[in-house]
Amino acid sequence: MRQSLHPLLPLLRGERAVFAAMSAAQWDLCVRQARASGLLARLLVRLRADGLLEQVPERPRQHLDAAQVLAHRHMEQIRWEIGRVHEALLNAGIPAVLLKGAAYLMADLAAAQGRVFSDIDILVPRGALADSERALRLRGWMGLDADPYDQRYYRQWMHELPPLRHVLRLTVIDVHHTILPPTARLKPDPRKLLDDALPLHGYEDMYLPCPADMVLHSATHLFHEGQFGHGLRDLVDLDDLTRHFAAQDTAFWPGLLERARQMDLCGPLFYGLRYAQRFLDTPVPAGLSEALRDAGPGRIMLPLMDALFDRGLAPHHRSCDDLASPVARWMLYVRAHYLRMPMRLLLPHLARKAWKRRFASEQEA
Amino acid sequence: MTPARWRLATGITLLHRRWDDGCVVFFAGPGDTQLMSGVGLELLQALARGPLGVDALIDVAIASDPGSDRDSARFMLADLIGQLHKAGLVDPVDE
Amino acid sequence: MIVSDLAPAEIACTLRRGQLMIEIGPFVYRMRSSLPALAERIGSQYADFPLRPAEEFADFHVRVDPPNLLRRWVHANVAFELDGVVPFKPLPRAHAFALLESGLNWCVAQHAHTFLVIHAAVVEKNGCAMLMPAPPGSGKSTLCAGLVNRGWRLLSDELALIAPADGLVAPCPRPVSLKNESIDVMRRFATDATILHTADDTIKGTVAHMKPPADSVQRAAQRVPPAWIMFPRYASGEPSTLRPFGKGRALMSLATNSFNYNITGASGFHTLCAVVERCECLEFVYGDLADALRVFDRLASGTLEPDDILAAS
Repeated sequence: MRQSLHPLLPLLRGERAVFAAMSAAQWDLCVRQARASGLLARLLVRLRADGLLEQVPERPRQHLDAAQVLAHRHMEQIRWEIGRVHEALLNAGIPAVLLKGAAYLMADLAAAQGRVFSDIDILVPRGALADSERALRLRGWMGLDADPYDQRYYRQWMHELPPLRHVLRLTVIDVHHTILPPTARLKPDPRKLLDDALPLHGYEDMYLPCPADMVLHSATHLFHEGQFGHGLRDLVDLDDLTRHFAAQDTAFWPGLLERARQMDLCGPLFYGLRYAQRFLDTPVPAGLSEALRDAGPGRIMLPLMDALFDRGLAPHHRSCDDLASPVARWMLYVRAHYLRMPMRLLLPHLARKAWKRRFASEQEA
Repeated sequence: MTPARWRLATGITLLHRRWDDGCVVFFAGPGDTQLMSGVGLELLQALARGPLGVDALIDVAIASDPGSDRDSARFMLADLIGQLHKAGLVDPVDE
Repeated sequence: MIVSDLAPAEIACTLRRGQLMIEIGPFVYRMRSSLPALAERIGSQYADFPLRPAEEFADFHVRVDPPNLLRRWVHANVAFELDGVVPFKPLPRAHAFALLESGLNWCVAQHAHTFLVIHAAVVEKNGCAMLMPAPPGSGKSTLCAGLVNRGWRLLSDELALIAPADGLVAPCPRPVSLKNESIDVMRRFATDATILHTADDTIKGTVAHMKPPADSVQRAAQRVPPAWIMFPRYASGEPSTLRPFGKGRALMSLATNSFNYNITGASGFHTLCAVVERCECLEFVYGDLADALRVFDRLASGTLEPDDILAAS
């Protein structure tokens, strides 16, 4: 839980006094928690920015440096992959907006530094979905899951393409046409995201979300997700993004609120900013938090949600788990599915997932 | 061999080292590493400078290995380009 | 302080509490296990290794234990865990030490990216290291064990760690694993080497571990430049034959046998080029271990005649 993320959170927050007083045992815990959170390389980047990297003791420093080697490779690889995706879609005349990590990288944002990238996420117009799949297939990206249930889950129920994996390079692309699954309760309009997207210099017909949309998408993705293995990393993203954009543009915060209202995403933004502030001291203007209050849970539910997310957003690590953590994670998992799909689909889906987990683990043993 | 023109996939930087038994080429970007003949390296470097047609590539091959004839050069070229294309390292150029 | 300074009961107790901190080359492993047989095996194979205080930084927190309460009594399996991550399927309890050794290798291969990590045996003589990259079954472990018993220093039998900054090999000496026939070869060949059995019918057949020489362990901080890349091949009845091996092919072999070359990018390429450039690359076919070792000694002392190295065929 959040309170056990010490001294990792203070280091991420740039608390020099904590850094100066760290014992070997604290470095030991910090490196392990950072690894479990996928934040080792990001920690290096933050310590370097704070001018503290050279003072990190030798052994922990090796782990930070090793993580940076991996992160650097990821950056190179994703940049390469984006180029290949661009070729494929440009040939088919399909405009695409890069999302999440891929967008942060191409926009040269701090959130891309030290990042371990997983999939590439892009958004295309709904009508172009089938063409996109064809164009990518031609270049070697195929559907991941052979399981017909999962195919149906993606295509029919979630109205999404299943993730496509490249046959040789094993990199994965997620092609979206909405911000949230069409079955979700919130209905942010993807056409607004497309309309206000900014062209990516040097890549014809490829775009980046506008700053407010980048932040909103990050918050929405996190707070509609069922599995929070990288919850803390996503909060660090939000922290990086908002600090950067706020420093660049005094109108950023009011613009963000306005956009959240337009996109019906005040709820996820409320949570995103609240927990970024709680974990990382992200400077959020008081007026904004107030204005978003109504989009959050009521006075009674809020402490419960705080307790759930204090556990759910911490990494899966022995040092961060208390007795309530497994229950908290399960509740957040169910909540995310509840947000993504109607009840009539939800219960059978959860039942099947549970069966698969049990059955699969029996096969293993 | 169709198509007629080829280029190095955009975003690749070539690094290489020559030894007696061949040249090792590192494709920075995708991160591939391949062992090839000196002729293969010359062809790659030619493609790195700009798109080239098959005939021009055969010219490069012959210049690099004067003992070879156009037919065997064409054969070797088809093989090399085929492998590199499959690995996503060279692309055909649409006319 | 070294492991053998502790009484066996203390080792077992410290291991149970998860406070056994052993320094192995550049890494400190914090070990935990409730298995008495494993404690005894660790105490024996790692007798000469330095111990670190429990309050210090550990690079890897590892554990070998039954995966859950049920498995403690039924099927008696054990699993290897690195700080909550279980990379392998559980194995029978009798193979706990082999599982631990695999796990310790895995930690380095997966995480030690400040080195270029190559799947190879590495030994040293006269201040120069010999790398022997080879797929399993090539006889490199037998050769490695033989060399180590004839005055060569053991740097590693599995993982060559190359530092990109200076191209030096960092030692990571650990028990040498031997399989099947190699075990008997070494029993006949070695005099005072400790060899311990693990159970038969692991996936790889019979597996045993040979305790690393105390000298190799004590000099684990001494990094050395590589001078030879050797590709060995055992062929029963064949005379010892040494041939030059193409540097281009040698580099490709190192790259293919590396655990992390593909994430080191251009830096890894330059590191490998530098290693291959400075090394003599050779392939070696042998049918008799004692004769093979004589050839290696002459190679190390620079007394091989030019025609002892045949032209590459």
